[in-house]
Amino acid sequence: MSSKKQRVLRKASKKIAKPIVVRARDASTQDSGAIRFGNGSAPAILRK
Amino acid sequence: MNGTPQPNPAVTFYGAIPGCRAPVRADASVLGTLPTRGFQYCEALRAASSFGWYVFPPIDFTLQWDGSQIIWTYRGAKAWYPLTSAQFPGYRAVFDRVAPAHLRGYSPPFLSAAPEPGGIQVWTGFFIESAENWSVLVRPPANLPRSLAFDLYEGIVETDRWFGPLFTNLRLVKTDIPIHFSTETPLVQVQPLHRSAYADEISNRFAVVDDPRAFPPAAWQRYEQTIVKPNVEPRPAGAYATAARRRRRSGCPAHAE
Repeated sequence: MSSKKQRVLRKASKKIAKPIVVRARDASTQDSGAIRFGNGSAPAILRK
Repeated sequence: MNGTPQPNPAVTFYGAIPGCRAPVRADASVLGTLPTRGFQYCEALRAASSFGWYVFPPIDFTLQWDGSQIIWTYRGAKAWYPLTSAQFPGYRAVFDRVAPAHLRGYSPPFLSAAPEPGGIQVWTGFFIESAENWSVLVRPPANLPRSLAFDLYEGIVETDRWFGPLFTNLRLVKTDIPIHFSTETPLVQVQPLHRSAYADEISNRFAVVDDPRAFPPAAWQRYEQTIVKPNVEPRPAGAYATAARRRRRSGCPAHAE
């Protein structure tokens, strides 16, 4: 395989295999949980 | 919103997140995606498509669901984050700057994972209110090809009595693939509904004639008029569309009473 082909393949595989980096917390989207819409995200039985 | 003040708006959208794409009138061509034949001649398609307003996601974001946990990211984020409940990026501070002092700390979340598998509430970034006795139906954009990766639920809200965030509920369907939401594509179509239109007494008031031998003569006459005659006598294409538009132009049915 030519080196050009290898370069293209390497580049393509890097793109496809780009890993998902999951971080625990994002300060700019941190929610206090003070507001929920409608019935909210907790089952009614658990809401006081 | 088109920026032109309307004297008596049926519905008012309040932009709570500065800089978000404003709602626009829903489009008879469904953003140019309808077949030309349908757009030109099919008034049923045009009327359903252009009924109400498109509302867009407030930011480009992406969800991914593994069947149990949801992770998400957004335009400008450096990583993915587990989703339980999330504010619009940087919004808490914005809200606290503009809200009355006693409401600080109560900014609505942008995304909230529901306890149902794949269930998510998405806030559009707008609050909504409607004129007296008008509700809104919040639903997927009519006739716009939908993503197969998620479903939107529909809901009718009495927004003349309930003032609050315009949000929708969706159910992720596909697992282990990124599901993108773009500010270029409407997330929901909001349609005004007069309360009388969906009252139980109307929905309960229906009849079924279950045998063609029982059709009254008037039904056959109408069938002849609307279906048979146009097929046997030459007529211009789009006659139904022309008549419907002419009727519409002659007056607003909501103010005809």
